[in-house]
Amino acid sequence: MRPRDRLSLLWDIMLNEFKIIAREPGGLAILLLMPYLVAGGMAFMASFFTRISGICFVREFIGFEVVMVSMIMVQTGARFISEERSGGRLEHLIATPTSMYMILFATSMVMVMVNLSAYLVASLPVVYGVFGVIGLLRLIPTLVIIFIGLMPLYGIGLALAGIVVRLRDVDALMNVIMALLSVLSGATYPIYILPKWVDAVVVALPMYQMYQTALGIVMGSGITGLIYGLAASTVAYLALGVFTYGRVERSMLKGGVK
Amino acid sequence: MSAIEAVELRKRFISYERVGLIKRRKTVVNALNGVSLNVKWGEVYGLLGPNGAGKTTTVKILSTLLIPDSGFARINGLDVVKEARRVRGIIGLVLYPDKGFYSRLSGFENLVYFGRLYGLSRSKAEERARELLKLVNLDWAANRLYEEYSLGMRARLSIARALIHDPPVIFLDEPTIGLDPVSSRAIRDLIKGLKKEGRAILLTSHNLWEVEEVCDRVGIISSGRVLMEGSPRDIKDRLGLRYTIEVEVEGDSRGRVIRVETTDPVTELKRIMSEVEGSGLRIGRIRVSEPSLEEAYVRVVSG
Repeated sequence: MRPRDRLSLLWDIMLNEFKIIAREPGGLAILLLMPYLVAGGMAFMASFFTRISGICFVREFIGFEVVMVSMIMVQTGARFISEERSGGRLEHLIATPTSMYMILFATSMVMVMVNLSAYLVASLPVVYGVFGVIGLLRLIPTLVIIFIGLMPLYGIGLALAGIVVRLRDVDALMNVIMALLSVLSGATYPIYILPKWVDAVVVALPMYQMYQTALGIVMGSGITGLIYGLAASTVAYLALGVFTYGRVERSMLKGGVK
Repeated sequence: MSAIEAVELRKRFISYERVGLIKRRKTVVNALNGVSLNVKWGEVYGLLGPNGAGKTTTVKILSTLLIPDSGFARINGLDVVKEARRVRGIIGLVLYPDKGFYSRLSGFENLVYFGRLYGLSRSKAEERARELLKLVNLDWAANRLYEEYSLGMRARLSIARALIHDPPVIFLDEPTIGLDPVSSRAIRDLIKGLKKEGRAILLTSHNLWEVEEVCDRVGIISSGRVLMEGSPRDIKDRLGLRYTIEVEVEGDSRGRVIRVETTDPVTELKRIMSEVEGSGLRIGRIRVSEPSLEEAYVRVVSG
């Protein structure tokens, strides 16, 4: 298949996924509003316990935003596989000549876009309120950072999707992983309070890198080193996801889709 | 070259049975024990067997959804394991006629989507979707959401999906399960039409009369083995199943019916006719009942 045809197919898969999401407007609205409500709500609650400056609020807000979009992103692949399996579509998708990686990537890209929109809609008033117009201008490059940061999370999601294929109780697994990820995000609390080894795990996870880079841009501080770390993470986690999913798809073809 | 060729396919599944609250017992299920079959171009091959006989496992291996433990299978000369992606491009598949589509999309949108996944251009996929919806008599419901489709409509849409990329080889795993007689008949007519176009079709079904009506050859499978194979008539002959001949004789004071069971209906009918005519009587009506495939199936499967 030519690259142009490949892109056109990718676009059509995304369009299809978007149609499905858009036909459940309640779900779409929740997706868009959730980060706003959660991030804003948590930061607002924190303001009762301590005196919160505008910058502090932005720091908390972006932290919760990153956690929210990360959770949605990590779950996307696994939920997709689980839903396709229960709807009897998974085998029909595998039976087409289109690679499952492409289908998973395209459907996840839709979630990336929804996440970016949610991030933008939620952040605009907060950033404008604290930094003014310059804050809005700084918000644009953070969209690129969030986009890049969601890629390694897609990789983690792909690895999880591979595991989900073998399990029945997807929700229980997801709940455990989400709880772990939110604790290990390092985006909503200062990580120096953690033991050294947990600190190392947090720094190695893409959420922390995404948070620090996005925050650095909004605050107007240097981010060069952080960008390298995020890029390395993207490559490493995507490779891990592709490898894990590939192995599990092979084992699924040996044992059958259950 | 055969359209579908399977040689000594073996497949074993490991499953776990719950024993008590936590403990599980490992059980090995031999789903296929050396299944071999051949389907020619322009032929409908029926795979018959009780539940758990290995029909769906065979279909899944042939359609690249399962990897066999041993043996090999080829579709139009392509190996289903080593050349899986190329095989996927030339086969159409109906696995679960009652599901497998996106409920929030219309029948048309679902078909176009799968058409794209099968490598058709957007315009070609739309054109094919329209053609196929007409073929399966769903053009009137093209824009209706899939979740509003009845079981019969869903089954017909499944067949349309299997044909979206115009594949020369089609696998139909119980395509008429749970359908009303009118919908089943429409699907049988569709299968006959596809056969006339020269496609190779492998069909599994529990409706034996349906298989007898549409299949050129039949394989009876049980416990993962093909126990008998041939045309429905061939199988009945090999099993020595009896035809029933009923001849109504007239010209007597009261009409009577001669009823004979035989494995050779032609010779027997000739004999009866000459006897009746020799005794100065007339033949009113003749009825020859062929043994059904169901009888053959029951005899083969029950050993």
